Amino acid sequence: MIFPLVGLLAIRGVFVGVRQRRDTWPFFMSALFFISAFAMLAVLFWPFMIPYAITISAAAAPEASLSFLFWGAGLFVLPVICIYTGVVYWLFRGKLGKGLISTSGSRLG
Amino acid sequence: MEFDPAFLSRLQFAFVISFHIIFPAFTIGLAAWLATIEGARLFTGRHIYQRLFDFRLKVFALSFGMGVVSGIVMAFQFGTNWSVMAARTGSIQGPLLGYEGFTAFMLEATLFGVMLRGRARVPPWFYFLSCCMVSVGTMMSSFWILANNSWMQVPVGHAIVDGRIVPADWWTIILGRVMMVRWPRMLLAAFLTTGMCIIATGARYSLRGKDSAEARVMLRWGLGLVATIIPVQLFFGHLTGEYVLRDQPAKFAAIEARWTTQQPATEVLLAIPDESAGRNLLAIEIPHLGSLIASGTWDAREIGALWRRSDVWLLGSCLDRRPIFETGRIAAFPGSLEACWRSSRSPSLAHSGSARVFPPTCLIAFGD
Repeated sequence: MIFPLVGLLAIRGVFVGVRQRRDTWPFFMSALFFISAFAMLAVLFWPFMIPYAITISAAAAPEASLSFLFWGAGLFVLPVICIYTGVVYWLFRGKLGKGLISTSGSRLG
Repeated sequence: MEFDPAFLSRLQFAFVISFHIIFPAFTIGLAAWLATIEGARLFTGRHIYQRLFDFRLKVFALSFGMGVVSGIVMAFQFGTNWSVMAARTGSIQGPLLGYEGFTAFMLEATLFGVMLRGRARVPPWFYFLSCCMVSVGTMMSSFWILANNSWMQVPVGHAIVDGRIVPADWWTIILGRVMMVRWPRMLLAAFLTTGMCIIATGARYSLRGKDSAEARVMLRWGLGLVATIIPVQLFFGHLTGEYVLRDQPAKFAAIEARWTTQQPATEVLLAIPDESAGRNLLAIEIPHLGSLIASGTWDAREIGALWRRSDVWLLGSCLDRRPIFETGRIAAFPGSLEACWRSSRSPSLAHSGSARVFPPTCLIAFGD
């Protein structure tokens, strides 16, 4: 029940952000909305992966595959991904000024 | 030829992978080229490298995008067209493709944004790092997909438990027996492809007499790279033939258009196969060369495609490759002939020498 509520609040947050000219709100509220939508889907599907047919434990890959992905990609690579994605988002923060809309000076442009 | 689901699956998948490979083969090399040029610009500060970089950036962006789009369709077809294979071997293919997404796709996609739009926002060293990371991402992508494909060619490191294929030893699966032959071969092929394209561009601008300084850089650097890579690629090509001969003899026989076991074996240059009769209708052959190429001795016995008589379907599927293989070799001729003709028409150009060298090497690359 909590996730639909959060989702609805997030949608309202988008509109509030636009009306009150809080520039960062639309982005974060949209992200929050999508997170709550997926969480709601997971809660609704539980314990099935494909509803009413295959459970999550039946659909899962063998332990060897799961642990291979978890210990390598999940534990090490995923934090690295989060870090550099965050860095790039932060790099492109702020409003677009006039001078920044030009292309990288290509001869074809 | 019946239009059953198996054939239609193959047809659709063949179309998608043929279309898709054009782009990664080009962008792996182009990402490395852009990183190199950006490094040259950073360390020498010359404006010519800036112009070379900007010339290629949009081309790279388009090719990269097309590669991603066709790649997504292809990845879906792993499941839709090859569902039984995906179900049986998913425990191994899944993690390998997952690692490709984690370590390669995310990296290239994120830092490619910096490459496209971030020059004004980041310090030059960070921009150069982004270009390098995009290039590394493309190479990691080729690593994982070749790990997947090499496992499919020569499956090692797995176990069969209760009729299911489960991974037993991941190091063996990833760095399988043939992986370190096939991955360098793919990487070198990508570099060769892009190198040839850069040489061609440089040659064309050189022949036109326009932007000759940039054209000279492209020609010189491209030719240097290609001249270094071709001998290495020939070596890896030989190693590839070795493992195909050892692990997939029926496929090798089909590639060689060899129907019956021969000793000594001839090398067929061009042939029209007759599947129903089990022989070649018309063939241009060189005696003894088949034995020499395959086993390295003058008189070795080489297995023919009809070796396993019961495997008729395998035979048919192998031989479908033959017309495609030959047309690939033939297609290279017209393009390089045209380039030869054009360059010979303007002998007074200082760089016609290098422009003339390019077509024959292009032939070698295509025949590879």
